[in-house]
Amino acid sequence: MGARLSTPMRARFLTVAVAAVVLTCPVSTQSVLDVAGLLDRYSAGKFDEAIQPVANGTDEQARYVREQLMTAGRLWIDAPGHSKSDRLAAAAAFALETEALRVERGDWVTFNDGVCAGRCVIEWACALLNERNETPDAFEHDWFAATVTLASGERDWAFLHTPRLVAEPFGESHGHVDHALERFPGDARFRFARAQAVASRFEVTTEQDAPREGVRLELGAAAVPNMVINGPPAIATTVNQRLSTAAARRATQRSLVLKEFADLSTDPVVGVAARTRLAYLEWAGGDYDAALTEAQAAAAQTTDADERYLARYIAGMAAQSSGALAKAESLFAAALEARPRSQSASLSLAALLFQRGDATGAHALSEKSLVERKNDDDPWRLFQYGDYKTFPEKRQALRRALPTEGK
Amino acid sequence: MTRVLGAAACVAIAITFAPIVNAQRQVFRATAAQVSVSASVKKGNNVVTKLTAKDFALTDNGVAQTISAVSIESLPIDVSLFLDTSGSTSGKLDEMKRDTQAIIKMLRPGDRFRLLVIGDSVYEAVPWVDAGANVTLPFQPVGGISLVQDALLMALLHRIEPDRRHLVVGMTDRRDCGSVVSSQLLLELMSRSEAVVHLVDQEGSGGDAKYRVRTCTPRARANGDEIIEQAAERTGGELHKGSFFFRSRSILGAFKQIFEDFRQSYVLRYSPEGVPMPGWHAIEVRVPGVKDATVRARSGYYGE
Repeated sequence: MGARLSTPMRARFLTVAVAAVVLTCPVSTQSVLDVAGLLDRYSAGKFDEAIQPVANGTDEQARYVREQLMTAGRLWIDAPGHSKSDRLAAAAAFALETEALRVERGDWVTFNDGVCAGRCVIEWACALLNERNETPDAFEHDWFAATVTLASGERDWAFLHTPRLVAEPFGESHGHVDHALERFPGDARFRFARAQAVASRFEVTTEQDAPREGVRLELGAAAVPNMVINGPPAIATTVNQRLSTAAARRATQRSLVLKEFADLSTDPVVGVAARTRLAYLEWAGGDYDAALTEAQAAAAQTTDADERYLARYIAGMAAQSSGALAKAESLFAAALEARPRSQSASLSLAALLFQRGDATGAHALSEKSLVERKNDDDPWRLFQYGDYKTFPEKRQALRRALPTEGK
Repeated sequence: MTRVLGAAACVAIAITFAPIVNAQRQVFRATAAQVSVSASVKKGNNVVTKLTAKDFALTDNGVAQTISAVSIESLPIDVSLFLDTSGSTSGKLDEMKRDTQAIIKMLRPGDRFRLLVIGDSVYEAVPWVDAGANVTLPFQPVGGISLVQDALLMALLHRIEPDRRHLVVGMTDRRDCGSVVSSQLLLELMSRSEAVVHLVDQEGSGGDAKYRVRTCTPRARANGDEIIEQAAERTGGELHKGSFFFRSRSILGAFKQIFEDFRQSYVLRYSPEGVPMPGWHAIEVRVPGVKDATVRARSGYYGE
């Protein structure tokens, strides 16, 4: 994979970076949380007891924990008489959990100018895992899975994966998911996360016009824009050349991501999700027929209600965009069979019914969704956040896999 | 019943019933279909009152119509309030909660109220309640996702009973993110709605977030906020902006003005004549006898 700083160098760099961030907001000594004490509790398996003080603390206290991890936390790790490997693992897991709290408080990136906070802490923790020098194990896998999920929820795709060359999105690169793939080469979950990170950086479609039976909707001007990656500018001398170069890049990037999703679509773990993302990307690129085919295949490939709902919903969107409104209605209705009264399909179907004159049906769909699906995590509403809704499960898996002291 | 206008014609269709006495019970049969149009008439900032049917001139697709009835203030109102609690406006959350309580107290007996807010979906924070009800407002701010268009559609899909009117007031910056209903579709659907939609421009200072979107997908149109404004105007409502110095309007103050104007607006009824029913009917309402009068009424309806 990509060229990286050595682990000790990376750890030192990250320590300085995080300290630089947190030192800008010093806290009074009375309010400083005892990080070593919290780590003691965490490593002893008293997870909630360790995390609650940070969850209940002020933003100022929680931010200061970041610095304390690098100092008091480091001393705690290196304390004699304990398994260093276990303590490195515990500190990495604790750092992940405290950063998850920061994400919920909108504090992943502290400043508007992009100074990293959460990113640096996670990378610092990643360096701790390298320092363990263990053969990749279940704990490390669960830790990477949870951190990738967390960053997806934050939509920090650049943190997860940034290729060195825009034309080679799966070539030489750096990013957190690339670190995961270094440790777990070929792992389907991480390959999927990497593809999602690439796709999510340009799967943007300007909302379309009102649907019409038999009318194929045009893509918005912003459909599938170029990936936002710093790199050498295209070598071109005229505007037309530049435009055609950019278009060629887009086409290359898109085809490579489509291929990666297609390769993963038969995987037993991520196959359905990959096929669904493939369908979405086809739709966002204006290939509605391909999107419909893939989405329906994804729906047929799973018995999970959320996955089936999502796939059928995207199939409905594809049918709607292609002007097959009756088909779109039946697909939205099929999505609602998988997950009754879910809002996005209810509202999409209601809009079509209302448009063709069935105000009573539209009203019923909307009301049932509002009244009977309160506080629902509609899979389509969360589609752009990766698998963030599974973070609690991943955190639990990580806790179970942690080699706690005293076990 | 022969439906001259389809259900989705979606102007308030007041059916004139001719009672036919059966042996045991009354049976009601519709004898004609009517179109109802809310019309607000102002001169400057003042509402023009005491107008009668003779004072109005109404055309349906350019054909002059005879207004059969004009009423004012008599019909109870269903008020749908939509608060944009997304990240872009959530800094005003406490004010929103305080003002919502006051708004419910402001309604008249017979009026009803419902509150919709935005989370990761559109939520019914307060289900339909009667005027004056005590309610709890547990909603929290959610950053990033901003389902303004979806919330507006859900508000206007409410079906009112024939003897009521529906006022939708949306407090929002109109910056949509992530709605399944596009602004163009919303524009079209608002034309079919029975509701009168008013929007109050809100600017917020942001707030805590569970999910934070940096890029909306599908991305909202660059002029989506203008399209939403047009959509409100099509219903006979409008966008209420703040001043140069204070862009955001006070929620309570803005609602008071909108509600008072709406209560004093006229409901014009007519039976369409001389125009084929299917398709779009453009409506124009004027008050020829009042110089410089501003009339706000829905721009039309779809007939079947």
